Amino acid sequence: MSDATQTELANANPLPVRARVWNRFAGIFWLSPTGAIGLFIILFFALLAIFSAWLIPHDPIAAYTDKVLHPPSAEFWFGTDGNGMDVFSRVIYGAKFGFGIAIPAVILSLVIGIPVGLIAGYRGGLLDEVLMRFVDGLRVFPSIILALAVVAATGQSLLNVILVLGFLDSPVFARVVRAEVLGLRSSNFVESAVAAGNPTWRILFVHLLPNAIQGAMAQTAVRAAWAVRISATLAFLGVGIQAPTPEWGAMIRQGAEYMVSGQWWVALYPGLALILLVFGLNLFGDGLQDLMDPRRRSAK
Amino acid sequence: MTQPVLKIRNLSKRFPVGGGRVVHAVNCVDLSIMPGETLGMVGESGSGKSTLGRVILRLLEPSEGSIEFDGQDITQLPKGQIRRLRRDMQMVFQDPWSALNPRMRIRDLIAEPIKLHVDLSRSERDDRTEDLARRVNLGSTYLNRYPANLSGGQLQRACIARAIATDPKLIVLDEPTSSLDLSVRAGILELLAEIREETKAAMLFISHDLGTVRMISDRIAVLYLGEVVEQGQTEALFETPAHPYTQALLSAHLPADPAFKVSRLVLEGEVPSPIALPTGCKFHTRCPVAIARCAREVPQAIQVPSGQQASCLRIPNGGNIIQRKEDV
Repeated sequence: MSDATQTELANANPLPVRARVWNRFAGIFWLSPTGAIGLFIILFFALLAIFSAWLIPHDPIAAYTDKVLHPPSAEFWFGTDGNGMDVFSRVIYGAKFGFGIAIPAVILSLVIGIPVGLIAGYRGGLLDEVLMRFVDGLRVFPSIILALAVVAATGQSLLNVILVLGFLDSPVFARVVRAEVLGLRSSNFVESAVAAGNPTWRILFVHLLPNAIQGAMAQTAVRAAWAVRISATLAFLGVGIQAPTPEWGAMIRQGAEYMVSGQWWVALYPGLALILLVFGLNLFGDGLQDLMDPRRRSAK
Repeated sequence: MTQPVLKIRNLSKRFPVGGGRVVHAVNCVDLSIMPGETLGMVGESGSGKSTLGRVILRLLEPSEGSIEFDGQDITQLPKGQIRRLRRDMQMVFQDPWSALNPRMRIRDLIAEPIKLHVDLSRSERDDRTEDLARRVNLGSTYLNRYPANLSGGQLQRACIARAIATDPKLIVLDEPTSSLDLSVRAGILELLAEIREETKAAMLFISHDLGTVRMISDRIAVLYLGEVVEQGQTEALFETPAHPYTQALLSAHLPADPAFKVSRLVLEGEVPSPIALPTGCKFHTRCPVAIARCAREVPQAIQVPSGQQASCLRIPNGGNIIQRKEDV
């Protein structure tokens, strides 16, 4: 190559980081408009969760004993529940639980699943067999029943719900990462890293991980939707988070009792919020997978 | 007398391929490389030359035989100790596009062996990285790029910088130029020759391109079906090839002089499968001067008058020389 073209290439700076981030962000809109809608829904709930203290007109666990089961009105936009608590404030406050459970649970799943996938995929052989059979074993049980049993056994607390969800969902990430590593472990750059004298942990975390993590990252939003759904289901079934905590699942459970007697608002609003957030996370998750998986991208 | 930096004895590598069958990739190879020496290893594709290079560096486990590196038997050395030895034995790969982690910057890729093996402060390491990049004529602007932003020649320069970063005693180069454009190839070869002069590192230069090997090697070993059929000083081997296979291989190589009268020896048939190796001399199925004995007896390496070692039963009575037809 001539010197002139070399300098030319050298001067053609790659895009600055901020522009690249923006391009990627904008790319979500073009490649997946539904994903963008999902992102807006998530952001909407994130804002509710962050600014709930300023948004709620009433204390979510303050019981107005003289205003039990009032229908929606100017004072109580979504009505009051059986304890006389403001449903509107409780629905907004409930967003905190949605994110507060889903985010740490997904992070825990990643922290467990990624190393398992890396080691199983790279080492192969017996270790891979054992790890993957264990992972399959976890997947065999319907997750809601397993979660129910484990939370019931380990004790009812928010922390336990997070730990159980995070642990139960880690196989998803272990599988995705393992599949990537299987394709990468015989590649030249891994052999070259071994030849350079890299210890195994560096091969796994410095060389394989950054090249194998895309598929797992694309799964995060969908898995967060799963965590929101399952944690609400657990609360609905009376396991984990208990009333009167303003958690959507627990609120729906409480409201279900009043459905037959006509007080529909107690269960309806937390139900709508739950559906909308899960819907948004799934839409965004789909868009994320479209964007990060080149095979799916080119199919469009 | 100085000690060879690499000495392999009776080295074999077999791969099981299922159904009880075995690929004999490398068979009973004896080789040694002296400090600062460049040994060229030539052979067709499938001759086991890349496998041999990887077994020598213990990237693949040998099935049989011994590897002595710098006076130490490393055949059975545990992985952890091999890893420390990699400071002194590095490798350059054939395909520079895939040999570098696409998610690491060139700077970090070149600095990696230093980080792994040499105790240097961050700034000393940065200085050394810049020196290395300069040494391989890679502009420092490329250091902050990712491999996808560099050309093949630039990537191979980065790979070479990586390989020489820890001043190794032995560098195995697995067809380092064969995937590059002709115009880039010359520059890389020149660079390798300079580096050899400066660092006095021994090199094992694996290639199927005779012209390239001749340019850079002190000695040459010719591989056929995982066996060294002939080895010796470059000039002796090129001037008076003793083994019939070497003769055929050299006749396939076009000299630079267009006036040179070429008479080719075209070998009959295909390379036999390394799963079912021929008996006796492995070349007898294609050898134009083979006699009945060749199918039964395994030839031993013998020294020929021009100095190199060749494994052919017909050398003692001069029957090893293939008579060339004059017409082309």
